[in-house]
Amino acid sequence: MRDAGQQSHFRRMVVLCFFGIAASVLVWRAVDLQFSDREFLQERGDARYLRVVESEAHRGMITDRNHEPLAISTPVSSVWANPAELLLQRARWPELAKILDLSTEHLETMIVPRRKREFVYLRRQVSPAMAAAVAAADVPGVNLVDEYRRYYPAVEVTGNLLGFTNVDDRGQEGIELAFDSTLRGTPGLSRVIRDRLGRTVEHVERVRPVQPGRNLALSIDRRLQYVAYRELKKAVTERKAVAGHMVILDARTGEILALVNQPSFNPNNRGDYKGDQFRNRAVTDLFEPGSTLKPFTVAAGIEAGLYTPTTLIETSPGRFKVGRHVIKDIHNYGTLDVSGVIEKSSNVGTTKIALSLEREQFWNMLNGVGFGQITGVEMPGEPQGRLAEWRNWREIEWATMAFGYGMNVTAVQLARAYGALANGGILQGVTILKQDKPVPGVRVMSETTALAVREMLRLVVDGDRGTGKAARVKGYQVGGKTGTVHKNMATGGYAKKEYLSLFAGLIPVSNPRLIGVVVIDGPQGDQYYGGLVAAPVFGNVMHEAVRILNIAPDAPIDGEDPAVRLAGWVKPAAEQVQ
Amino acid sequence: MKALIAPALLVALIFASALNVVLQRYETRSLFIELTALRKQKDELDREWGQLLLEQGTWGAHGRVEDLARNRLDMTVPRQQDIIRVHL
Repeated sequence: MRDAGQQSHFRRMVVLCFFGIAASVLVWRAVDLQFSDREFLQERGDARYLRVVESEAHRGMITDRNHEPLAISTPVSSVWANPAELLLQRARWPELAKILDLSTEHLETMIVPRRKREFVYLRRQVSPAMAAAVAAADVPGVNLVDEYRRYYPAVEVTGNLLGFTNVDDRGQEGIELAFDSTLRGTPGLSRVIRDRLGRTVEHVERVRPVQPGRNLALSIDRRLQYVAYRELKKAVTERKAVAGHMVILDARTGEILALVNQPSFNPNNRGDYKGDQFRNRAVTDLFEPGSTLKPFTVAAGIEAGLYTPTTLIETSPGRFKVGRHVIKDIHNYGTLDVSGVIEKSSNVGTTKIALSLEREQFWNMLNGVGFGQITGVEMPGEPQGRLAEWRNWREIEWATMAFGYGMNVTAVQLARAYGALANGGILQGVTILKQDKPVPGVRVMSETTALAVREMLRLVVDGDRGTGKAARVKGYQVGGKTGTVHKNMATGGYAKKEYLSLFAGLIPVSNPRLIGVVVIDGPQGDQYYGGLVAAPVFGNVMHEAVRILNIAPDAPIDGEDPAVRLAGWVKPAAEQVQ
Repeated sequence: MKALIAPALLVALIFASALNVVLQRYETRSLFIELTALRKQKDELDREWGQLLLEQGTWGAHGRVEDLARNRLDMTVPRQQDIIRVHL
């Protein structure tokens, strides 16, 4: 018995030891897993059901100054398929192809070679009607996914100005590119628990909140933009010109109210266009300002105290020798006063004024009104323009600059410079964004000088002998300067028969509100003078612009003083109406 | 007897807190479901709004309005001499 008792005690010890060892191994393993490999294991575990999902940020809207939308992102559906599943539904392919407006063969070439994949786009960004039809057909393996698509309601009117985005919603050109980071926003990230079928069961935490893109209000007035586009397009088409652009600036605030280009493109459907067409010429293209620069030569002369509007200048015989070169006028204008030099656009007269000044005085004026400097307008691709430093001027350069050759500017720069004349001598910054208060400026000439030059510009348009008559707007005093420039050839030198027709002007002269610059590149036919090609565009656009913006007239209408019409209007008699 | 009061209280508190956890969790889920539904609704409304804006933009495109006004309705832009300005 004793033996048996001892034996059973021994057995029990063995079994207990065995259990003890097994238990401590388990405990050890548990501790080991819990402490040494914990992170790795936790991660693998979570990966079975935890997912980080991205929620797309809505790209901000671009509006004009009156909150009219110019670019809107709206969710649209894209159709995608799981090829493996769709291959089992061959019978329904013709039906599907019909809904998607594709041929059955095309559908086949998309699906069959990709049978190993799980995701194939059948058609991206379809119309709501098509999406509804796809959903209604409910073909197994065919699904819809939401994407944002950018729409531009003003179509080609704002094409070059706004630019466009690519499929991934990134800005590629124009405003879309310049303000991409503002408009884009950041997609949000959140961690969720998903079940086997991919449904979100629980929202665990928000890693990063969605930051929707901010809306952007431009200084553009869509109505003016439309009128400017319409008139520019008409002129470019009629003159069979290569290209053209126009800028309208608010003289008081420095805001760009309209900026239009030809050729343009449809940003909603830009399949066939080439890179060249996307360029925003008014900002990126340099040209020699030609005669449109002359007001600043005269301003430099008046500012230096050497000239007044009535100072007489001898321009006969219409030729003037500078070194080995000869400066010519179209006709021999004889003796002109300074106003006459601008009105007739005499090269000889302006050359004489420029050469009678100190180089530095002349350069200071041109530099002061912003030539050879970027305007800082918030659009991509703005060049600096060329204005040589006065110390390096050869005499002929000095002379040709007096009538706008040997230097170059952009349309926006030229408009800003005319702004200094409009503002009583203060050069303002230029902006494409809507402002609450005027962009600050610096004085670059005295008010008297600016007023005197403005009066000369008025004579160019209002005078009986002026070159800019076509820019007239009934009821308003318009000031401006025409220009006709021989185009620079790529090979150097000037093209004989290729011209730029220019007009730069302001309205109304007595208290300028708007500044406009029109550039028509390469008009064909006999008429290529700025006064005949570009000035009418200015006139037609401003005629509507003053009505749209409610700018009060400052000139008699049919011999009647607008002030009288303003003061007490007489109710039209009944018989007058009939 | 007195020694049992503290543990009993703690046990009761533990039960209360456990029940609260369950309740909160339930609440969280139902709120999350509501949030998801509302987000979905917002997306739908956003979509509709965008499409309405576009529709408005298309119907109200200046080119179209001008064409209708001039050709169908026979309207013209008033000439300067037809406009009478009134100071207010």
